[in-house]
Amino acid sequence: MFHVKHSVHGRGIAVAVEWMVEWMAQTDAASVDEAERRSEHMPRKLRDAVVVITGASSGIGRATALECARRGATVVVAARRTAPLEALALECGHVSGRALAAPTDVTDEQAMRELARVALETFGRIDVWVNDAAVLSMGRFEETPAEVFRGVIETNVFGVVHGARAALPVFYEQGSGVLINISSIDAQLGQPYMSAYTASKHAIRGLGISLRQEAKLAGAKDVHICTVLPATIDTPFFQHAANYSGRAVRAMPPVYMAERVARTIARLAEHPKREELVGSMGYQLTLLRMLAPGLAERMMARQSDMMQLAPDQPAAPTDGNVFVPVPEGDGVSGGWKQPAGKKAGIVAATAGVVATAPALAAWLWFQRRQPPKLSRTARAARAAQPIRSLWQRVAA
Amino acid sequence: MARQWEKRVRGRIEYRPGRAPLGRLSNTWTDVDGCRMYARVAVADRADAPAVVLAHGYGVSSRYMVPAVRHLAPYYRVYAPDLPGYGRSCRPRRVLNVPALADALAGWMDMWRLERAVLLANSFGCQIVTDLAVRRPDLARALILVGPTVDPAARTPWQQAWRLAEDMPREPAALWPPLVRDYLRFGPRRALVTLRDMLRDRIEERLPRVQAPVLVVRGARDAIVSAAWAAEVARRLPNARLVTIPGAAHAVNFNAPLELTRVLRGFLSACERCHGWPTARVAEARP
Repeated sequence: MFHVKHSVHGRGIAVAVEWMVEWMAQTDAASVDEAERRSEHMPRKLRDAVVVITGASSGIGRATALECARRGATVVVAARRTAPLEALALECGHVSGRALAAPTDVTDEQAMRELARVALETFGRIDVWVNDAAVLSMGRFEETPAEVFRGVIETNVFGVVHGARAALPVFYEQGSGVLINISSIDAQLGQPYMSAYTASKHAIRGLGISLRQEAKLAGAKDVHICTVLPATIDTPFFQHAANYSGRAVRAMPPVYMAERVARTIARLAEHPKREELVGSMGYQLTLLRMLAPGLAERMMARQSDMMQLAPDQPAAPTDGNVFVPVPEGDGVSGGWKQPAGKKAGIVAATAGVVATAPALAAWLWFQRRQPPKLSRTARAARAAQPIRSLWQRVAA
Repeated sequence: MARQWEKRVRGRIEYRPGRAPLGRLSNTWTDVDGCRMYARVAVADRADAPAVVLAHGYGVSSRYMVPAVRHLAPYYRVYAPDLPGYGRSCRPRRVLNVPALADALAGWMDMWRLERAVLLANSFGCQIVTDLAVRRPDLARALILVGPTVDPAARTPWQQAWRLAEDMPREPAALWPPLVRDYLRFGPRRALVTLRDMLRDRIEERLPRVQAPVLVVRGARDAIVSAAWAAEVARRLPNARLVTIPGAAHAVNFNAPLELTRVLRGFLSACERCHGWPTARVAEARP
């Protein structure tokens, strides 16, 4: 390490400084390399991250933007509707200090590249890219117009493809980044009257698997692709849906809050996982599909027919927001999850107590079966005995 | 040892998956008014690319500009000189103040025939290049002020030292060796005199007279340059844009060179569009 050629006598400080300088020179090369490598550690904390979110004007995208901003992230929000987007950017900017609204149609590849470019030129990097934009078309396959079917695939599948095309080169250049695609529990099971949607969500899941494998083969350890599979979420999504079924569209219970998906996405941004279900119904359906796939499909078909479409409420055919955005519904919630009243709370509490009563009784019963307490003399007698090893006890 | 490292850096082009090959550096010495000035230069057969001159901060040298040089090199001709008294350049007995340092930089640029170059400066370097841009507008095509000092709200040595102490833990640990090395070489006399000059120099009075377009860059975690002061700098300049880089501390050129390169490229391409500058045909070095 150190070449001690100098005599220390007389000029100790000068020699010490020289040693130090030499040591610095050795560490210097390493330091520059380390600075190069520094950006390739792991997903950044959201506080230091730039998050791009498509489909952010309402629903899950909006909730995600607000959640990320709450955790200190710099957010770039994209959607077709300008007015709600700018209001959202303003809101996020108040919370985290940095936010940018970029009106973008995800079906336009050039616009998506432009979105990535604007994010890079404004903040220098992109750490998380959330492909959230999606549309829904309801109705039998034969009754759904071909262009509507195509429109759903354009937005849901090609939107994600264009997002990945814009984000992944940036991630590979940085050596890090998290791409989060929002699929659906429909990618696990499928639903009737939603053929385009189900097909698109399966496609997103498959795309995620393939991209993940490619990242692995490219040796990019810190480029992650995550797929989120939410169950029915309370968003204006169902009000925005194209509908050719003749019946009004509902959100099929159980309905979960969009904030729950947002929290999951924020967690994935810092701790990526391959796939993540949101909502316990998703886990139940997954389990059922594993155990009895045929039954699961039939059940889902019947359930959707009864609860996804209102049986007694007719609706005129509409192409919803598949081609052009609709002005209404620019909040997080779609009003599908009724806030539980006081009465419901009491009923739930009673049910909980009744359900846990047998367990409580069993616990008490087992408590009494414990060995009786020894008297003082008995304890002293036991203490006097030598401690026998396990082997001795087994032999005895 | 130092020689060995130079050789390593000079002879290496790295290819990483999905990365542009980073630039080669060469060492140059130029005589400017009797002072031998050292510079790290990366010009890889692109005579038509715009020139970027990097001015370092207080006490340090072009050594901590190396990450920025290597990221900028695929797109620009990059020059990172050590100012007189700093790094490996000559050490004049008289400690140079801001205008004198600006003169030395101008003299060095004249020797290299760099006209209308992009001047990128960090920290104290911003005071030097703004002075240069005011007195020699022909040299400055655009300014990139990365963490411009001195915040008038902290115009005492104690406040500056406290802010530096706050900032250093936020910088990568790799910044310590070049920093300590350069400070040791800089010496205490030069440090004290330059600190006094730095604090006396009023950059805010000079800013309205800078005609070139300016990009003000601030790291979001910069403790030395407050967000309010960076906004004030951008407001005082006639033609400026402020960019904040999330997660970066004061020495953005060292801790976030890729991000700095991206915002710089975006700014320059926008400027070429808005001011009718000659558009340099820079071959993208990406495969």
